[in-house]
Amino acid sequence: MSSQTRSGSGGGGTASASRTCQFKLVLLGESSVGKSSLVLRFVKGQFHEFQESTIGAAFLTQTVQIDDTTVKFEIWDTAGQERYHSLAPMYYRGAQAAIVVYDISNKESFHKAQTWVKELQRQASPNIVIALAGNKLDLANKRAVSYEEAKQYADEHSLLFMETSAKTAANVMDIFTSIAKKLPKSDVNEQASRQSQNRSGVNVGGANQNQQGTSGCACK
Amino acid sequence: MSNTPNKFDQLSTNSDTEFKAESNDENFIPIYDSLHSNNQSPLLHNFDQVLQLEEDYDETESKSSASGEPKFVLNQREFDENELNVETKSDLTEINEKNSSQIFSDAEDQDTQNEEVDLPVEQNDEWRSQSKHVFILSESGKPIYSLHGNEVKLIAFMGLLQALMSIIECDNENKLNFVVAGDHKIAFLHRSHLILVCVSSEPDKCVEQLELELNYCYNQIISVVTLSLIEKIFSRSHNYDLRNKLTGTEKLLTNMIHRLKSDYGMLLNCVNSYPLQFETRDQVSRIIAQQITPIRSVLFGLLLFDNRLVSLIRPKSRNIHPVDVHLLVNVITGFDTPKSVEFTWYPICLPNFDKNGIMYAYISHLDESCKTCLILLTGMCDEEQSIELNECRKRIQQKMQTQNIFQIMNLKLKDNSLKLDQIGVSELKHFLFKDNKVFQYFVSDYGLPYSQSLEEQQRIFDMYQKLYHKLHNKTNSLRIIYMQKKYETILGWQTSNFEIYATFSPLVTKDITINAINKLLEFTQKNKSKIFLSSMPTLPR
Ligand SMILES: Nc1nc2c(ncn2[C@@H]2O[C@H](COP(=O)(O)OP(=O)(O)OP(=O)(O)O)[C@@H](O)[C@H]2O)c(=O)[nH]1
Ligand SMILES: [Mg+2]
Repeated sequence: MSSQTRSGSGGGGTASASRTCQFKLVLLGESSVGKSSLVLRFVKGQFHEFQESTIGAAFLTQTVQIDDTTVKFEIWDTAGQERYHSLAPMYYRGAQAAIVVYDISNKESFHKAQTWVKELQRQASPNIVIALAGNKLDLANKRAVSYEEAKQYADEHSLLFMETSAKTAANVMDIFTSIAKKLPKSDVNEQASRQSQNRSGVNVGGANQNQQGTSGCACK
Repeated sequence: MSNTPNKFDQLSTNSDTEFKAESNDENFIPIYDSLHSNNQSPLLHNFDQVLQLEEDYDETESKSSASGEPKFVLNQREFDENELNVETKSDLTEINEKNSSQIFSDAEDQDTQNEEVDLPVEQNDEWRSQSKHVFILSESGKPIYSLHGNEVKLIAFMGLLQALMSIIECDNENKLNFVVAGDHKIAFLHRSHLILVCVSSEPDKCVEQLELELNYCYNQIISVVTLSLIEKIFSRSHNYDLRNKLTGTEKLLTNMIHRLKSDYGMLLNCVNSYPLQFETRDQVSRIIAQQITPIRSVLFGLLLFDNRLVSLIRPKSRNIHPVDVHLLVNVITGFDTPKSVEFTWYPICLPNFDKNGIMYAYISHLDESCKTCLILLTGMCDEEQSIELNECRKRIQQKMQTQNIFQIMNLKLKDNSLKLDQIGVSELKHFLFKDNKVFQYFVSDYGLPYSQSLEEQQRIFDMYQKLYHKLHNKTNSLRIIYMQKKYETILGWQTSNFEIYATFSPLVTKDITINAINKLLEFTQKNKSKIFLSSMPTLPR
């Protein structure tokens, strides 16, 4: 595995001389707030009324075009169940972006989202782009978290904020593209060095010492 | 409880004590390496059934001759010394009689008033009519799982089970294994702070089978929480609600119990291998071995087709227990992963590998139909690692594609060379062959009329299951069982090298059966390389 092959596959070879960027994005939030549903909407344009609870973590990829840049998201859809919590650092440590999801009809999930934000700001990469998503916007009649309250919280903590609905697709594309827009797409070296910093202490096995750019943004 | 014998160990190894993580690795079944095979017959067990008040409670055909009055069978096992206090025996009988008649009043002189208080009304009829129940609770009686009905609503009932258990086991010397009450059999398994209970009115299930099923359930729980965590949690807080650690995995238990109904591999303590031409299997194995060898943290690589094992790559010195493979398959069949997911990264404890440790399973489907599944097991919790494995998977997938392997595997589903009629004995309707050296089995297709009806096929499974437990019963040492029954003649034969279970038409003669069995042995011998995984490449670590 090398950064070349990976960004190569993202670039596809058909597009003109446009740049290809690769970002790691992690979704966090309480169980059943709709993380998997948001990803499924984003990746496949689908919604399942009976989405299964995620086990461990699922990995998906999706590519979006932003101006002249092809952005390839490598998405970690984590399991919200408490018993997987201890695994979360593994996914957010190398991530350039995170979407913290709560369910607007569930106040408790908003509190949980705040603890995720806190954990990210303390332990993830300092440059990580964090978006807060108030999902299930279609359930506005059962709303338990007001837009203003969440917006204010997001502003105070400099988060991107949107209310979304995986069901109706409202704001789903938007939240991913706003993240893509906010991510630095030029500074390859800075990204790479930050990556190797983050990696120390994580990488226990030896086999991949020669892959500096592996998890960084590999812009070409 | 640390002294409880492990069913799987009993069947597969010569150690009859509690398994230890390390020694276990060498001890248990070398699935794919007959060189290290365990030559000891699985029958050589300690004679540990000390007390059995009623002989042969699951009398062959007389479908529960129970004449209304509940009969109680106590099976008390003494593991340390074979001593028994006769007084205890009658005490226990009394206790059980009292309690179980409360639980399952056989519509006789019992007073049902008690249940109406204990059980929420809405559950009474439907819930009680279920032929099988599985309950899991903590030693303190906290509900953990129930196959039917909300476990929380069953709290009073669980308390009763807990009381039953603790009254009998209070002196630390007695062990409650099962109770037979009329048509109901109640099996208990008490292990590491957990009490597992199976209540069954299925006519074909013997208690040994229920115990086997409970063992699978126990292993399923360990695979989610690990033994060390259970020990830690309960030593800290006796009253802990273990459901906190199991949320989302209840369906794994349910799926497990469901699979036990008809999975020959789970019954026989074997992996389910997928029949494939030796050359193709070899090709697959070499592709995988080649790709995962450089990734040093990978311990096992498994390729499954149709949830059956095509290939298993392992380190030279380590092996994977069939039960652990069943646990992995249970994750794949128990959860429905969307197709758009490239891979899942799932933490799992494989109790027979290391019951205290977590491994990480990289799980990815390789083809459109999601029939082919690659599992890579590593001890490392590392996101980069998983990405590296993902790249590795892509290379494996590509190689398999260019060598046309997906197509070949799909075709093999309709392979005729392994059909029953190749044996050429029309009286032979079905057979099951287990190789005790490689711990794999082969199951034939069904002859008429069985091929027409799933119910009949299930009936055959149930008959074999009974035969299996009879042959493996520690109190008798029958090697061959031949039974002429109403609808068929069945035969079970166990040697140290193999086991055979076969179904014949009812009027078959012994000569024909002998002839058929010989042909069957010839057949399996001839096709060995096709039906079993053997001589897999190993990882140099
Ligand atoms: N009405 C409505 N329902 C939604 C929406 N998004 C998700 N759901 C439903 O909420 C339930 C949970 O969604 P998931 O996507 O599985 O939630 P999750 O956050 O991935 O949960 P875990 O995997 O357990 O962490 C499912 O039944 C979805 O159909 C939404 O925008 N509106
Ligand atoms: Mg999910």
